[in-house]
Order: sequence, then C-alpha cells, then structure tokens
Amino acid sequence: MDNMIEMKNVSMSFGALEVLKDISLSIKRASKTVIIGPSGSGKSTLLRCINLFERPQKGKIIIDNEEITHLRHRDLCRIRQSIGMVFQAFNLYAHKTVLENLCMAPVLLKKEKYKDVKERALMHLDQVGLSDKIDSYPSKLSGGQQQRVAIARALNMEPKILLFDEPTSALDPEMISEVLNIMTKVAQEDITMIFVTHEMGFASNIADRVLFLNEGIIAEDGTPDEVFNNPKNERTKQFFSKILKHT
Amino acid sequence: MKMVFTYENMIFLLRGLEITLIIAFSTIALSFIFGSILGIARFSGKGILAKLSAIYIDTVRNIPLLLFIIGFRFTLPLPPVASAIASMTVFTSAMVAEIVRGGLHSVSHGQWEAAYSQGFSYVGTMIHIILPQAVKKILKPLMSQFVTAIKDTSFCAIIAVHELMYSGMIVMGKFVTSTQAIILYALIAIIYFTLNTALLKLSNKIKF
Repeated sequence: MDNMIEMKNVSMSFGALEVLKDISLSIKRASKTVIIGPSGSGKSTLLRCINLFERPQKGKIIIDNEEITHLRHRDLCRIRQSIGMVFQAFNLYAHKTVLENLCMAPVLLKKEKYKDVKERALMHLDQVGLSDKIDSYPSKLSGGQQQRVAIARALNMEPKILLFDEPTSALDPEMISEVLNIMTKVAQEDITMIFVTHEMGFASNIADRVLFLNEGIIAEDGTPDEVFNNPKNERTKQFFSKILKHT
Repeated sequence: MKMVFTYENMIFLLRGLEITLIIAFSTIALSFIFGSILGIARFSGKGILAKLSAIYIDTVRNIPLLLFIIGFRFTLPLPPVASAIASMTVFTSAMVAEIVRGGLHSVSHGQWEAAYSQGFSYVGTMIHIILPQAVKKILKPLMSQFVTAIKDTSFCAIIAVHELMYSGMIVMGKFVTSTQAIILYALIAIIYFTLNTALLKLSNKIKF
C-alpha cells in the first residue's frame, strides 16, 4: 500500500451540526493535495482530523498503515511528531527565539543531539530565507516572516506529513506572495502535503490533486485542471464563478 | 508629655515588624506553592481535582480575611503566629490561584495547538510552552497580591499577635494626647509604605 493517509467513513459533528459526512479518502505518499471549498464546508475540520486535533465520532484514520483513531494520548503524541502543521495564525512560541522555536521539539521529544538539530535548523532557515533572524523573537518579525519560520519549524521535525491550515489567510497581500514562494519551494520536498487554501494560482501550480469540499462532502476530486476547468458539480461552478469574478 | 521616639518604643515596634515579616513572607511562600497548585488544577478543567479547587477558591474569595483570622485562632490548637500564618495562607492561596489561572488563560490557544502538533503532551506543553509565558504575565498582579498580604498582616492584631500594628497599639496605651497617637500611626504607616514600595520596586527589576 502506498497510501500515507487513509480516511475510512469519517463522520464528525459539532453538536447538531454535521461537519464531515462519511468521508473516505486515500492520500498517496509524497503527493501534494489542495483542499478548497466555501467557508463552513469542513475543510479545516478534515485537515485537523488527520492529526486528531478533531476526533471524528465515526470512522477510521490510518497514518502510514497505523490506525490512530483509538490511540492513547502518549502514542498519539508520538504519531504527531511525524505530522507537521502550519497554522493560519503562525503560532510560534512567543517566549523563544527563532532558532529555539525550531530546535525545541526535536531535542526534547525526539531526543536528538542539539548540535545536529541546530545544523538542520540553520539549513531550513536558509531555505526560507531567514538566516539573519535566528536570534529574533517572533514579536519582532512580520507576519510573512513568522509564517516562514513556522514552515521551517515544521520541516525541522522531519515530518512524513505536512498540513497547511490556511497559511496565508492572516497575511497582508504583500506578504502572501513571499510565503507562497516558500511553500512552492517546500512542495518540491518528498513529504506528503495537504494544503487548505484559497490561493487558486498556487494550487494549480503545485497540486497533484484538488479536492473541493462542500457541506461536509467531497464534491470534486481530480487534477487541478479537471477541477478548475471542468468542474462536474453545480456548487463547484458557482464557487469558482464567485471567487474568480474579481480577479 | 512622654516622647514617642524613645529607644524602647522603637525596639518594641521593630520586634513587631519582625513578626509582621515572618507572617507575611511565610504566607507569601506557602500561598505561592498552594495557589499555583490550585490555579493549575482549576485551569486543567477536568476531574474531581478541578472541581474541588473551584469550590475552594470561590468559597474562600467570598469570605472576609478577618473571619478566617479569628475563626482559625478560636478553633485550631495553634500558637498565635502559626494560626495567623495558616489563616492568611488559606485566604491568599485562593487569590494567587485566580491570578495563576488568569495567567494561564491569557496564553493563546494557538500556543497549545502548536505544541500538540509537534507531539508535546499536556504536561510537556504546560512546562515548556505555557507556564514560562504565563509567569511573565502574572508577575505584576502576583507582586501586588503579595503587597496586599503584607498589609493584611495588620488584621492579625485582632487575635493579639504581636506584629507591627498590635505593637503600635500597645505603645499607644502609654500615651495620652492625640498628637502622640497621630505621630505613632504615621510612623507605622511609613514603615508599611516603605516596605511595600521597596518590594514593588524590586519586582519591577525582575526581567525575563
């Protein structure tokens, strides 16, 4: 089996609100998937089920051939070490410098040698173009820079999977492109990546596969070309006509 | 007219100050420990421990300190100073607990998610990510609560603990004019003021 992530009949509700409806999905190793859809369609919830930030009431989630849905807290923590996440609000550790943000988890959790971790961190910071900021605190960085550090922090854990939860939605327009450029570069890596984003240009550049989510159901599933240019579903067409009207 | 500033009077007041400091700093140290435990327990939000902490904190915070001081002295087989420390610790711990809980709540939820996403456990996140940030935020309110504790030791005069206030009242017994009384009370006020101002100034120097 060459699937990194499998979801089997996953259903999830918040109270009476059913957010994910019987979703089954396989994501191939090292593939790049983009999830799009209107707000409230369940895209973030779907993403957050993969590292069990949200616990589905029904269904199974299998990461690298290991079912994680019934794992105990300690084992779940181990699994999460290999699933990186990049957040809309960056969420850098505010009391730590950029370098410390990158080194903390690998040293404390994966018990790696600080020297090795630091070397790797410097490499990743160079990759996101922030080698000169290693001793800065997050509060001294712009939003775009913080998000680039957050990407480097996720990479420094050497994850098997990287999840991006609307990584550019909290950024000023000017900073969006600097982060998208870094993400495009990072997308060349051999890591399984899933992006929840509204950046259609980015999606068509890097995605192997685009999912359109609507009301908790995968309404469209195909290559960027198939989904963007020949959507089958009425709701998808409507969505694109709305968001493309002003571009 | 008798002099206020005699050697004997001053020594007597200083002895009182010594007891005040013993009660205050024992209360502060103990309240810091118990208050932190209670605050973290209540913050954690689940289980019997959190519920008990919440009941304790809400009960104690809504009863005047003076009642604890008197109540403890009359019901517990403790010597006066120990009884004063015990009652003040019970009261101040609840205050500290709420300050600690507030500090923990002030750290954004995103910090928890970032740590969880990297594989930190609840306890690991608390120790490495949340508490270091909360400590910074609670330092000032905590110091202000400690200054309040020092001032509150004066309530212990009511159970005849020879702290600064009670010592002042004893010295007062020797005097007859209101001028003498005013001078003596002013002196006591200056001592409390100096002590607390120094403590607050010192706490402003603490940097992380």
